Amino acid sequence: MRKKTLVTMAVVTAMALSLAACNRTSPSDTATSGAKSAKSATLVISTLNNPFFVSVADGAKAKAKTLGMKIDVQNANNADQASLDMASAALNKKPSVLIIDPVSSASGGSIVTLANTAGVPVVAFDRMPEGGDLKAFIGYDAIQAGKNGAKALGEALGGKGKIVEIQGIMGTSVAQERSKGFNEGIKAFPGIKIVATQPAEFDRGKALNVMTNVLQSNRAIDGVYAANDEMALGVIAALKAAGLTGKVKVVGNDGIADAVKAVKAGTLYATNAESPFALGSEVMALAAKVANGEKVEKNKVLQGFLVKTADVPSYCKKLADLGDTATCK
Amino acid sequence: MNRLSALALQLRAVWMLLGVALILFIATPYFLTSSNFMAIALTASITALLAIGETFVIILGEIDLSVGAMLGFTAVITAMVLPHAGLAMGLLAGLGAGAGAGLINGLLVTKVNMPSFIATLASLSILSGLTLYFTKGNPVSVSSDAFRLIGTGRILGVPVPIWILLVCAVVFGILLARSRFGRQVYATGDNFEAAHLSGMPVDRVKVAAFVISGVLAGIAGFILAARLGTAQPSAGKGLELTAIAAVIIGGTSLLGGRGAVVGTVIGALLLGTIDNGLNLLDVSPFLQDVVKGAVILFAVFIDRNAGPIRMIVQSLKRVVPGTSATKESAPNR
Amino acid sequence: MQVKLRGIRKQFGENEVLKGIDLTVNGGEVVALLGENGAGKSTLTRVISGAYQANGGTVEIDGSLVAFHKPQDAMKAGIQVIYQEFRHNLFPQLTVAENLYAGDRSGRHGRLWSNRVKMQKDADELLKSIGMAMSPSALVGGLSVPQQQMLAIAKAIGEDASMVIFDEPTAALDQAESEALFAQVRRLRDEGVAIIYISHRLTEVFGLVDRLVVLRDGVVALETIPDKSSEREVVAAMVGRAVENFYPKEQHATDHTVLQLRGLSSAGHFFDVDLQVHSGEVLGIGGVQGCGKGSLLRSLYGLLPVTGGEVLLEDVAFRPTTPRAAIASGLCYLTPDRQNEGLALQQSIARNISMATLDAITSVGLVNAKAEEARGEKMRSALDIKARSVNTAVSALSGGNQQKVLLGRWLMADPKVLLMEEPTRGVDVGAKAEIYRVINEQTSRGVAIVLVSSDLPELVEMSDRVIVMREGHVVAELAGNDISQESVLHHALESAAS
Repeated sequence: MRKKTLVTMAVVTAMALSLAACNRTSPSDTATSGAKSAKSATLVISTLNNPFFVSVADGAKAKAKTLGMKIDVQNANNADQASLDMASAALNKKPSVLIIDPVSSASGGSIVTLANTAGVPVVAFDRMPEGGDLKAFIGYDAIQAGKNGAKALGEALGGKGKIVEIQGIMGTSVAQERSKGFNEGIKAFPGIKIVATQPAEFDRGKALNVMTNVLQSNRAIDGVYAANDEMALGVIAALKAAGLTGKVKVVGNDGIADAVKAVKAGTLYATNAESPFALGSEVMALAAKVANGEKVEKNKVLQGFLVKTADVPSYCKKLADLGDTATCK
Repeated sequence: MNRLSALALQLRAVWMLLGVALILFIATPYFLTSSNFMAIALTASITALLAIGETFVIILGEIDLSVGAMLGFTAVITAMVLPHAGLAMGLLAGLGAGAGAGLINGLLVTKVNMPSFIATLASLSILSGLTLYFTKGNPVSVSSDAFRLIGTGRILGVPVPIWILLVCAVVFGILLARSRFGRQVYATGDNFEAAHLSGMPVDRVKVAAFVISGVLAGIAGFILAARLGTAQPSAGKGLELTAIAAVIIGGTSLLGGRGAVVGTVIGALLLGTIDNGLNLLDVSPFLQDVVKGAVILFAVFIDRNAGPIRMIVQSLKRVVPGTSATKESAPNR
Repeated sequence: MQVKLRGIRKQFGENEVLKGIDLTVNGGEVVALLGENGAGKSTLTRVISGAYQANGGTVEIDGSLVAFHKPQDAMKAGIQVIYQEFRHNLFPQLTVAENLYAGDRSGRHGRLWSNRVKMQKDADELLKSIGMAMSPSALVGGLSVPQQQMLAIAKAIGEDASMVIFDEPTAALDQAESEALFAQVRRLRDEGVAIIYISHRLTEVFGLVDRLVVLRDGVVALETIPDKSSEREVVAAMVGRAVENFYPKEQHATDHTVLQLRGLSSAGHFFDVDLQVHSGEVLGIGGVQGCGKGSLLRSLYGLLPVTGGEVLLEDVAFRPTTPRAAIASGLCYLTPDRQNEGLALQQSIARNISMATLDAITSVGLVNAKAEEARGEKMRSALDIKARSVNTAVSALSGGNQQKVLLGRWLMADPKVLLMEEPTRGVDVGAKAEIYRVINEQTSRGVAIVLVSSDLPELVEMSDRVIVMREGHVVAELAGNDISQESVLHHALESAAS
């Protein structure tokens, strides 16, 4: 009995330690410039399971390198509590600046408040935290993103047809705003009717199943708007299984690698590219300024831009210029 | 008589399923079509496969929390091996990875004597970590058309994943209900010591159950990858809870010693039907969780009152001429 | 206190278990409640204790009508029950003191915070007053089975009971512990507590109680006092007919040695045991709890390590490492704890019977379910197992029938040597007779039986030879006329004698 308890404790401890370790990037990743006080930043990112956020982290790390700053990336795995715990742990080490993209607006607010108490400046991106004193927020204009998507889909269908809207995690401001923007934008096409609006948690597999079900009660549709590329790709898979490839136009958001491939191949009509790499780069630049005590604009809004088949080459060049070689492989 | 009531207990999930189906039948004309039924079976197939494996483990009185992570892990392995070694090798690699992970789970439980909750929680963490590490978070695409057929193809008009589910349900159902191994699973889960003293290889039985769970996760893994065209490292995230829910709804007891594959499959179909209904009826996203909870409560209500409801249905049958009245067996109590 | 039951009826669905029971128990007397399994003893107990509500009849306490809707009502009235499965009364993860005062309705130890110090002190006093040497801070889960039972009794005493019902209290105790229990029962009686004592051990009942009440088929079949009656009369009332011989032992022993132990030792359990068992013979092993008799059997089955000596089965060296290996060699073990180690309670009778012998009905990995059922039917009729069908779950059966199922499992394996430990514990008279009949039948077929039993009359009457163990050593080997309860006790307790 005792041996069993000891072994269990040992394994649980090892597991906890390895969990903690795995989520850290090794410090040798980034160069230190030999300056007396190399600034450090901790990035608590909502998830690394989504290539979008992987790219953000890559962009931030690349920028940090050029700036000579240390950056430590923590993965909250889409769990509110984990993000809180990681932020607390990070704050104990007093980084020069804390960067977060909240798992939810509520938990984000709690983290900002924690950082305020610890005296560490906070920069947030992508999802706006609720409450607390933020030094800067940088995000894509989610409402504009929705409008861009509506415009693309409306034009693709020649202003007429039945469409389905596939939403993200409706508990987040991003999903809510994209949906709001989309619905406003689609009003410009009175000949287009939204026949179904269903959530699929920003997840490809879920979107696959949701679309499969929606097709049962809505066989004759002409287009689908998905609030992110992962879901758009799930929708495309469902359409393929139903033999509807090419017959239904799909529009997504984000501009991830698989989406770029799909746009090139013609299965995805367009995506509102919000280069995550560029976002990561911008965030890091902003954070560096904050760490150095410089004044920054409190609310920086980035705009995405529509990438249709013809736009792919110029999008890819743009990314390459930023240092992103992964997306357009 | 008692075998019937034992079977009735396992199949009480049928009542729940019929209850929900009735609501949907009334609510939308799109529910009762063969195409929709296939959609339900298709969307539920992944959960159902995981749940079949989980059934063996839970009847043994253990639990496997790592099935979701195993799914992602095996899908990625299949996708990585396939372009280099061909379809058959790719599938085998995925199954092998699942079996291997299951083997480790089983050994942790039987040799190191770890409670399965902790052991599989640990392997969940390790497997999803490894998967993320290999893929750097990026999905691995599979371009093989033959592979994609597994997910999108049809045989005799029925999608391939449904056939695979059917075959697995039958094979593993028979394994559990009729084979010596199945008897050993029930006995060991019911009373470990008694099974041991009866000469049953109790440790081997446990390991085998975890391996089965791993193999089924492997099958679910490549089906999902085939349907999507990519293997996503996070593909199975959270699915273990849905799988376990399907097992419990299907009539298997968490305490061990009782359960059946057919009940589990019905449980998975029930959950799939609920999701299907939410999409068919275009239920607002803000209401979906509420509706899901309400439906599950309704389903449990049907289950608790299955006896009286069945009697009402029987007496109605007798009143309506031309329908055969079946002999009423002793109520489930 | 006086508890008076008049015309108590109780039915479950269509099954009428109590058909009009009249029973009066006064403070300061011990009344034995006897009857076969299914006669209604447990049901009656549960009606008195408030766990069941009667369908008819009245309960009076000291002349006033009472109605108990739940066990707490009965407890408030001062009625305590110590169930056969007394583990239901105890919390293994808590200490002795915490268990003793688990109810604490009077808030004696504090309403919000439990006053640990006071609890320990009170517990200490209570235990000492009963003569129990137990530390109040010991964890109950770590106590032995008899100690736990003593604790359950102490708990009842601590709750100032006016009536205590003992349900099969000596089932898990040996001679010495049983004596300690009887002393407690007498003490309670002398203090004016009304006591109902349920047991299958007639000899001890006759020596202990003031009045005997026998139930049969839901009514009182006999009410008498020990001086005016006999065991024979009581048994006849229980089964409804005259029973001639309680212990129908037949002699089938041969000279052929089947099992031989030479200097067998298992460190910490038993040392240097020499014995032989012949085919057709019943070798009894007697001794007090802890003497090593149970450990000896378990080591032959691969459950305890053998650290010295050797075992020969049919003159071939036998090194049992697992139960599987033992069964394959023709040696089977009937465990004393059918609930925790014997039966898979949710599985059917048929499955439990074939559990150790599935290979014989398996081909291509699949079990022949029809054969499994047929075997179950065969055993059911051979052992007279009372159940609606062999597909019924074993949990639905009475203790005696459950024991028969377990025995059936081992008979199915056709053993050369059958190790039986406490084969009739918690089993009614009818089932006991059946089990003894099986013993005779097996020995007539040449099976060698090793019988470990703390039921002295059973041990003495059903064995051809008896060895007695004390503190891990064999201290005596008795044969023929030397076998008697006195001689077994004498050797088992020699330290007490000197």
